[in-house]
Amino acid sequence: MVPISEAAVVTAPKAPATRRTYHFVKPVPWSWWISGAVALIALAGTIDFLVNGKNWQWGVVGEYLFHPEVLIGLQNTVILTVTCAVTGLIMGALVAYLRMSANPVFRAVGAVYIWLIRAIPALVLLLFIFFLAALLPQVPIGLPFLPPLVALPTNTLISQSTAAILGLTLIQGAYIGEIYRGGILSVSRGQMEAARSMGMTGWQAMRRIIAPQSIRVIIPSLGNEMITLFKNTSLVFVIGYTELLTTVQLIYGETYQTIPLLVVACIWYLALTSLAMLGQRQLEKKFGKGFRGVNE
Amino acid sequence: MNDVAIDGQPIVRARDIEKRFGDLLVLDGIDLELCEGQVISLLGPSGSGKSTLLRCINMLETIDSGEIWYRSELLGFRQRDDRYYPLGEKRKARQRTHFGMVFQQFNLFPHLTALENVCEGLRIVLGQSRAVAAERGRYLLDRVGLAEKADQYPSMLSGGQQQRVAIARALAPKPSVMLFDEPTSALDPELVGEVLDVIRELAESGMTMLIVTHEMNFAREVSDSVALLDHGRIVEFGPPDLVLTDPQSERAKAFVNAMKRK
Repeated sequence: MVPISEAAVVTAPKAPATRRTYHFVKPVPWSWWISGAVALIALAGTIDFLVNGKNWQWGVVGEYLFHPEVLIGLQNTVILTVTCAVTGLIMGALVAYLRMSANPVFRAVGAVYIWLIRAIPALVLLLFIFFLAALLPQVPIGLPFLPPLVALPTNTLISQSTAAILGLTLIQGAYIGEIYRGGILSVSRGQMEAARSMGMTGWQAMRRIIAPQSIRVIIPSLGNEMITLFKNTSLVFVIGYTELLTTVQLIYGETYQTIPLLVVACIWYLALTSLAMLGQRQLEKKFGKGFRGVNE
Repeated sequence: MNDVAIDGQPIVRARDIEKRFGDLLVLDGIDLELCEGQVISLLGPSGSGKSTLLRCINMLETIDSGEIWYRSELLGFRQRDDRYYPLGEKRKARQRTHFGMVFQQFNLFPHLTALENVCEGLRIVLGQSRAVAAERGRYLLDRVGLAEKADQYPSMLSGGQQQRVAIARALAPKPSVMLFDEPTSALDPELVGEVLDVIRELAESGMTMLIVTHEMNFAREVSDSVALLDHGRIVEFGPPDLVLTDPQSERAKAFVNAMKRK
């Protein structure tokens, strides 16, 4: 193409040495000074409270931080989180598919499901699933109103861990499904049209063009959701699954050292959440390709 | 209506096309024939249906009535006993490969480099190997004057460069017909020329093209025929010199005069 800059040079730029130095002052707004001072005082107060407060019992915290029972509880929390993260991500894909389907039955099923999960508190849902046997002593396999082909006793199907996994998956699936849907909708219509116009099927376009672009948008909310899940695992204490929080509760139930043991749990939640956030930052970098430095 | 010299067999034939968006009749009985090697420009005020017609031809929109043929192939439908059954998605995707489409907003894939954009269809739709696709991709980027931009992401290219990559991308799978949907309308004035140059070169190489445009002079220069659309109908059709200098209908006169004043 034609080079644009063939016009004659009117003035050559001055060499840096002959240029005067201009000292620009960047004033610090007074609000920064005040907020800084307040923050410092608050920080000092917090440290004072943590160090000199009588009932923290830091010795007890240190004693239990790596206590074998606590570590087993932590392990259970991590296992539950990872399991439900995987099942939740899959469930979410299914929910997003239902919600965005051309099939009106699928769309309705997806909408009702999300409506129910949003409406029912997580704690209540977990209890319902765990006590399902009271409502439905046997799980019938067959068609409604007809005698079941097989009937399985509910209590053998639903243990504490299956109830926990089932409940958390159902909850995560609804929220993750909506996150996926939002991510897909954030990609402009023209992208799908361009992909189709070159002969891609809907599935090919979704996989190659839409999904890679929506992942970039999805990751921050998904990271948030995963961290919420990690903490939500503590809800399963109501059905007696012994994860981290249940474990420390069992311990302080005997020793009455409530505060230090809750601190132990918080330290672990803090540590693992920080780790998850680091992972999220790496993912955001990876999927930011082609978008870096563009703020549109 | 089509009384210009035809230098080949019709490659695209649209008959009695109707398209509605809700209550609005956007295309109201369009007949159009595009022959091998022919360039037709679609002109008309906004809302006259010219872009919709283009989008119906490659089935980005589904027509409500009429037939569109690519050679001896009915597009988008299977006909049996006077009834038209919509084709499955795979068949439609297959049929779309006859056409290459260039959009007003470029629609480059922002997560892929210029070269990857051009190669994507070759790899995914035609199943070519990375090396074979890259070779054709580099050839096409060179042809639109952007060989050195192969590894840049779209966000780093100017609008004109993006549109030239989009043209290369549309050409990659060797379509028989190129469809241009206002290819220069979203460009800064100083970038229009470089895109028109590429399209002009394509026309000279004998590519069959259907162009929706507001660039009157360009349409006059590059087209074998122009069609003036208004309210979903073709109100005037013929060689550009005739239609654009001596339009017959009142609507066409008003439109041509308005465009001249710009």
